[in-house]
Amino acid sequence: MLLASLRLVFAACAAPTESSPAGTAPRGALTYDARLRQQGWGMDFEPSGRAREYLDRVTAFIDREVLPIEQAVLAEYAALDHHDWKRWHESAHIARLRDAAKSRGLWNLFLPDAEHGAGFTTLDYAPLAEAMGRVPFAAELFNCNAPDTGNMEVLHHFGSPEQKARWLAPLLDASIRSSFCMTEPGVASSDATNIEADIAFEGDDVVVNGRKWWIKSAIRVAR
Amino acid sequence: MTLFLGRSDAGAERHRQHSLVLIPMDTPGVRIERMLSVFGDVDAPYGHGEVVFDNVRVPASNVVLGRGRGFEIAQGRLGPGRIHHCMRCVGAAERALDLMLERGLARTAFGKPLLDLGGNRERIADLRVAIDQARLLTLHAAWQIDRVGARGAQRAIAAIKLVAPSVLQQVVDEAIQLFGAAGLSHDLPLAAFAAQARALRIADGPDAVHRKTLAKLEIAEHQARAARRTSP
Repeated sequence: MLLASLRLVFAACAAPTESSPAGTAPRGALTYDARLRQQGWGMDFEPSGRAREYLDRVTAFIDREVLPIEQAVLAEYAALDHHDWKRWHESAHIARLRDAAKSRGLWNLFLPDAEHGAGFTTLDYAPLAEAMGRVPFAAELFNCNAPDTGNMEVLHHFGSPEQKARWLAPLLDASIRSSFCMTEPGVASSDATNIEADIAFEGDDVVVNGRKWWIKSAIRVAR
Repeated sequence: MTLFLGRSDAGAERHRQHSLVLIPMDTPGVRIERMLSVFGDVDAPYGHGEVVFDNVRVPASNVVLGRGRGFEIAQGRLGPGRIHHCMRCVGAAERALDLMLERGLARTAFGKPLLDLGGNRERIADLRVAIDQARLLTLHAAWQIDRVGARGAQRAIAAIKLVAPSVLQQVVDEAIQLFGAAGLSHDLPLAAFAAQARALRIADGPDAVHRKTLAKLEIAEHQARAARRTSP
């Protein structure tokens, strides 16, 4: 009896009203969730069956393969004299586990495109990335680490066919690595319109001058 | 390879001044001048460099999307990147809470498990709720991105980028406190998580920028609501 009446209340809340049926939300200044609030649309965070299966596999991989060597890797990196960038090197554990994850198909899980990536929606990727977040360096074992992921997305969406062949394919394969040079020491880079490093178009070339810092991953791109 | 954002057209409209160029790192004129540290540490696995570009010449075909399009690409790039950081923050916070519980149950002081001392149980309850809130907000943003794209989900992305790193910071700080000095060392992942949380309150847009975005949208919606109420 109580349950039945509760269900009725929920049904009444969830049903689109006559004056604002679902799909005909007023546009303009309203953001998506303001429209949601108005119309009482539901939210569904249920992961797909395939995402669940991958979550089991990613979790098992982290539990069995990554956690046992976590402390050794953290100690190895802490002992590096990173101020001399030429002495930095990747942990052999990371290279080995990256190959292992790749051979098991736990690879490029971040990219919604099914041809080049794993084809997961953002919602499906959320629990997978959460599982990776449990270990500080785990994301790169699945080729799901910043800044490479953002750069792959840029090339995937905006790259020319030549740019994709030269850089996107090897990034998806993790045979090359990348960085993103935006932040500059000379300007408040939280406002990206301040960025002032110079790009000059000269005939068929561009000539670049400037100083960038906080360039994550530059060290492993250069080596 | 690096993606390089710079100004190519100083005279153009504010959001059309920048271009994005693909530069191989072995191009003459590119050099890493030094490695920066985060709280004096390497910020594993691969840290952050200061990089100088001195008359670096590459073909114009290395420009992505076209001259003056850099700003829009850079902004678009950060949408999914931001939420991925937040997803990992939730995982790191879960791990920190796990470690905290393990330690709190296993160690005793003053005749009791640490968990039964000094309000630690209440702390666990508060942290659990904080993590769950962050996860739900993350999933909400993810769900919106899938339905309307990163631009339409701008508000939800700003909200979670504001929340998730701070929740991780709070959870890790309490975990370190319960562990005692061990929590400061690299024997545990907590120090790495603490650096991650603190850095993410600055990287990919500092907290203040996300608050600014949220306030702007809130005001616009308030004004739209007011206009609807008064329109015939």
